Amino acid sequence: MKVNKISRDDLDWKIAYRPDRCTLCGKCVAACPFKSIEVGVEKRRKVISDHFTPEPKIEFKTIPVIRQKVNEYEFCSGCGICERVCPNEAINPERNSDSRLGAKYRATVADPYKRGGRANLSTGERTLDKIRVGRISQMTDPSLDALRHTFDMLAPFGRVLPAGEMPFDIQNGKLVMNDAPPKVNWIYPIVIGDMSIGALSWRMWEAMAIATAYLNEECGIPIRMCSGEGGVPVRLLKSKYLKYTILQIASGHFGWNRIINAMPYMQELPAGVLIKIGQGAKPGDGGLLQAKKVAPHISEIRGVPKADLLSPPNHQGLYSIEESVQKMFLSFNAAFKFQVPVSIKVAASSTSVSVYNNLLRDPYNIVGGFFMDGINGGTGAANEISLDHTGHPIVSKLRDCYNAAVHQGKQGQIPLWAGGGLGQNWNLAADAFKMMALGANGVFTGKLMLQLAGCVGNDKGKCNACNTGLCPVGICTQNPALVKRLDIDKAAEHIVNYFISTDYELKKMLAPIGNSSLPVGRSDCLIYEDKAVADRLNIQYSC
Amino acid sequence: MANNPTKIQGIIDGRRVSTQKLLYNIYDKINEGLTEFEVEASGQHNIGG
Repeated sequence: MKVNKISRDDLDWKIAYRPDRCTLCGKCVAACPFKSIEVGVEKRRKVISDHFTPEPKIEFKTIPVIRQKVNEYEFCSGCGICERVCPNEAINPERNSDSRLGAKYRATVADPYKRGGRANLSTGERTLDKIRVGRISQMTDPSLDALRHTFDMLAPFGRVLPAGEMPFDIQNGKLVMNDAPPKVNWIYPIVIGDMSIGALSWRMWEAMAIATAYLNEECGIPIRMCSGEGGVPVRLLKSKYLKYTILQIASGHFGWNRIINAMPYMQELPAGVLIKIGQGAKPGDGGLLQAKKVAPHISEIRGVPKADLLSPPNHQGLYSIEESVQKMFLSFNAAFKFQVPVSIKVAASSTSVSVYNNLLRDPYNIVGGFFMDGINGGTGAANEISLDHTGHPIVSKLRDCYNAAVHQGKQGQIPLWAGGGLGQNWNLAADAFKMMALGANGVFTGKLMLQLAGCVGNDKGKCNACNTGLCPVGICTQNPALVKRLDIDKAAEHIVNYFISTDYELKKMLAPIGNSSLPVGRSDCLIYEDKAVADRLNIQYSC
Repeated sequence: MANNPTKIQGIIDGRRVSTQKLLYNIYDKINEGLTEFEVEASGQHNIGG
């Protein structure tokens, strides 16, 4: 017995195998991308009697079995693909509550444990689930008919000027625009974002792009998708569908060469530019695309060799909020001749309000939005310590920023967009509505799209292998054999259907409070059953 | 043309022109078909040394 060696009981997941149900078809072993199970042989003792009167004999047989591998590199991640492919319910992973993998892995590999997904450390119920819509329009004012009323469901992406500051003059009794106002695109209050090609397989990314175009062209839902920082296929850049894409620029600047080279050929302007400073899943840490995911087409699209691709945690040469306004916004605004609104995305932080306050004073009117990502945001790869232990919940921070803007009388001028774990309980409409009532102009969602496409992971440590390049369902990998598992059309169809239902559900929330437009800042309609939280968010306490 | 580049002023009527306006002035001239410019910049972003 070797006490220090890793054992089956140290792993997060144990494979439950039922030899009596197994037909030895081998599908599970072939399908497991982590090579966590193998075919082996075991010696078995069997008592048999082959006579018509009992004549027990002891026989030792060598039988083939499916076995779990026990080491720090090929451990089972609990994705359950073996169970999916098994025709006979003979195998499945079982959660091991006594796991010590976190200690054993670090003790053997001398490296931080990395993974993808969301934070796995639960800190109790989600605030959003306990917020209810408690003010119903009844005798005071009429509620609306969700089915027949026409709702204005548009949110601004771009700097909104108050009426008094619009560049109008009266000349000869006519209203004349004497200067170019900042560009604002009015879009659906949910942005699909911002997951890169590279983090995602090209099939998954394409499925989202197809779904976005379909929702716009066929369903009348003007949703936008943010490209993520990994370049955009030139075919899309030169197509008319570019107008549904928000281009992302982050500190790695991956893919920007191609975007700039494609600019003379663009038929349409992109929907916007989103500068990523930080993300909720790994605040203060940069993106990390591990070399095993840098397939030839990823090298090509990003213009880089096959190596670990790190987006630095900071933008080089950017040291203050004032500089960010001047340098970044101006550069990207100028690149598209001020016709494409530019916004910024940061990880929610205790300091977010200061940043937002400062941006609100932007004298050039070029800051087109403030995107804040909360601690429950997802990621393709991060150190576990960043995922679980850094970040700020989005709800109170969004509220603080909104209140800060109200305090200056500037609410709505730099649109607030919030994300990070929205739709975690599968209902994005409810989360989006509540965030808007708390002050968001819109929300953004990422990981939910992966769930719709067939991601098998969850926030309780299941799978979470987005960083390994071995995604068992072809969503977060560039391995051609694994990517083939993902049906592009089906994934796109599921995303489209989900948003059709979300649109309907949003209206079902708007109608009872009597709002024809988005309920931005309508916190009077919210109630909370916990006094401390109600006070913190400045909404009505109810019990 | 080479000897007679179009002049773009970074200060008009004693007031500094914003980067955005200065760029618009350049775009307008480009649309008129001009290709050579002499910009008298006054700290506008990304223009000059």
